[in-house]
Amino acid sequence: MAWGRAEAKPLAGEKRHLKQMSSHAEDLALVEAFKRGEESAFTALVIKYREAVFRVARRMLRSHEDASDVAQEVFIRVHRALPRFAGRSQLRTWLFRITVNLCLDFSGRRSRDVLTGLKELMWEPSPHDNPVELSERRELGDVVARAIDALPPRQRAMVVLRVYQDLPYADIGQIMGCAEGTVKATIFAAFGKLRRSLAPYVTGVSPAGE
Amino acid sequence: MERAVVDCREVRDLLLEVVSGTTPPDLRRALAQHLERCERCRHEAAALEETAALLRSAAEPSLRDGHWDAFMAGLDRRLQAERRRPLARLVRWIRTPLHAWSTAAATAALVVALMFALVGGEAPARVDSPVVQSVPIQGFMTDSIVDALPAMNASLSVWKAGFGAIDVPYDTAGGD
Repeated sequence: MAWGRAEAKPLAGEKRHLKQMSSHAEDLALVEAFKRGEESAFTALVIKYREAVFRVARRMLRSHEDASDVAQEVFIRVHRALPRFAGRSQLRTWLFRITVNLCLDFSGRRSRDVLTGLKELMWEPSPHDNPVELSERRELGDVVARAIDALPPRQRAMVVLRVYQDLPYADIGQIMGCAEGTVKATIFAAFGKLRRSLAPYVTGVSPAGE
Repeated sequence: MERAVVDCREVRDLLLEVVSGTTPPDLRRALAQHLERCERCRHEAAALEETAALLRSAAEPSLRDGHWDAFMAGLDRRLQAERRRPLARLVRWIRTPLHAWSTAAATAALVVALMFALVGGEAPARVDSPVVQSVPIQGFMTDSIVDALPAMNASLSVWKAGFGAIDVPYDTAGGD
């Protein structure tokens, strides 16, 4: 990354903000429609957010089927509680809060080893995959997934929300029920651990850390 | 407006933002200026950047064909099962703000009717009570009903505020 390339994306933040505002307005319209009895509005919300919810759950739980179960449970709870949703927070933030809490509960209860069969579930070859690339991708994906999995659950949740969902720290704070500063400090600590776990794959970093 | 980076600690926070998301241009410029003169932060930046890049490079695998069809079918089944549970249906119905008013009125009417049935309407109305004088159903107002009025009023005000609108505490049940 060129650190001095400051003008590379001059409006990225503003564009993202506008997109979020527009998405929030759309969510509120769908929620109001659902409150009026339009069940199709709920389906539209599910279609809009199912992938993000599922992917967060899968990164958290490392199991395709558990992630599917949790994602469905998220939307069932949303369906139950949506009539009371007043729009004070963003629907997306609320959804992720339910997702993360369910994943944390689920992780705590889970006793079986979800790594069994993980590779088969997670890495399905496509006809266009080069076998060598596929093998490397699998290995790297597995190493990264294991490194993330080794983090304490709350750290893992914050890293997943930040790195894979690109959520602002303030939103992560709302989701996790803590201050923005706490989120930053936690993610920074998590990056330190990940750096050590992934040392063989990061040039110039010794396995010891620095 | 150009923003100055003051110390390495702030740089650390900024580095985290840069490697894990988008950062406003002025902050990136300030960060770059700091990194030009601080070797320790440069080293930190390189390691963070590589770690973030590695995490991102572990791309999401593609989902199996029919994954979302199966997901939606499963969700639909679970929602149908949920709807079939009478208690869940009742709770959902009551929690809908539009229904709260009618539920409150029906509950209040039921309470009054029950109390009236229990005392059998035998006791004479306490006509000197200002509460009794203010309501048009003096003939039904027994002492026990008058005594219960404050509690009934309190319950009614809770319903009016919208039972379903009460914020659910921060838990997995949700609530915004």
